Amino acid sequence: MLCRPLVAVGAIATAGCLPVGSAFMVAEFIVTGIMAGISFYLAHRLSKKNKQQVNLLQQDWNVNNVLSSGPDPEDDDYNQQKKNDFFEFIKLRADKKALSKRFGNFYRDSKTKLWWSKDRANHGGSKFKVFKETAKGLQWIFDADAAGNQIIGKHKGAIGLFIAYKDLVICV
Amino acid sequence: MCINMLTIHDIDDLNIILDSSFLITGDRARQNEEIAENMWVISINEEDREKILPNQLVDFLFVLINKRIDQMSKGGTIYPVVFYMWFDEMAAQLRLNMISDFGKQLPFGCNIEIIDSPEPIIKDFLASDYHQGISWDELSEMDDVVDEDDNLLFVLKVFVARIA
Repeated sequence: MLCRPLVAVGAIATAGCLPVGSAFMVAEFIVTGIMAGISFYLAHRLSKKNKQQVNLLQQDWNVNNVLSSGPDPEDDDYNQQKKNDFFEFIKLRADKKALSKRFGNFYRDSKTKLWWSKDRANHGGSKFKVFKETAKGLQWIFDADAAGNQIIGKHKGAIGLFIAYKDLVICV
Repeated sequence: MCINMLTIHDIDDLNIILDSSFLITGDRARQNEEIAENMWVISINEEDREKILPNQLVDFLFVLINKRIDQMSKGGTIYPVVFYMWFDEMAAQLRLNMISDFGKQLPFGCNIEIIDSPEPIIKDFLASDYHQGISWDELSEMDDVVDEDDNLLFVLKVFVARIA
C-alpha cells in the first residue's frame, strides 16, 4: 500500500514535472499522512472495544446489584453507617415503625421498603430478620448479619419439577 | 454464608435432606463454615400443614440422625458432633444444624433451654400462627423509636443430640 505514492512520485519525477529531491519530499509527506490515518483508525477502534467491555461489566454489576436484596452498596449513607451501627442507621432512616408484643420492634427502611427486626435467636451470626410487606402482614425473606448483609438461602426441593402441559394455562 | 432452604408440601419432601452433603471439620476455626453448610431451614405453607403429623416429623428426625451417624462412621469421622434443632418463630421455620462439638455452648445469642425430645419444638412449628407471616393485627404502629429491652426474657427451646 505504501509503495503506491512512491511509484506515483517516481513517475512524476521521471516525467520531468518535478526534480527528484522535491518528489521524495512529497512522497514522505504522503506516507506520513497515511501512517497517521492508520494510527488514528486503530486507536479509535480499540477505544470503542474497551468502552463496550466496560459497558458489559457495568451491566453485569447492575444486574447482580438488583438481584441482591441487601442494602445498596453505592449508598454512601449506608456505607458510612455500616462501619458504625447498622441497626441505628436503619432506625434513623425508617419511615414506619411497628411494635409486636411477641417479637419486639420492626422498622421499615424508607429506601428499600423492607422491614428490619432484631433476630431473637441470634444463631451463627444472624443478627436481623428482614421481612417484606404483604397484604396480610410481614413475611420473612432473609436473615442478615450485623452489617446488614443478607445471609443467602439456597432453595432446595421442587426446583425443576415437571409440570404437565395440561396443567398449564396458556394466556393469549 | 449460604444456608439450605426447603418448603415442604408433604413428609416425603424432607428426603432431600437425607442424601445432602454436610461438612464436619473438627476445627474450631471453621465452625462458621459448618454452620452455613449444614443448616437446613424448613418451612411449610398454611394449606399443607395439616397433611403432616408431628410424629411423622419426629420419625424423620430420628431417621436423619441415624443416617448421619451411619454416614460419619462410614466416612471415618472421629470428631464428636452435635445435632440440634429449634423453631424460629419469627420466620415460622424449623431449623436444623450439625456442627463439631467442642463441648462449648451452641452458637446462639440468646438464652436456650435444652430439651431431650424434639416433639415440643415440632408441635410449636406445626401449630404456629405465622406460616403466612406476622399478621398486621399483631403489629401496632409506633410514632417514635422505643428502645427495646435486651433479649433477656426470651428463652429458645433447642433439641440437642450428641452423635459420633
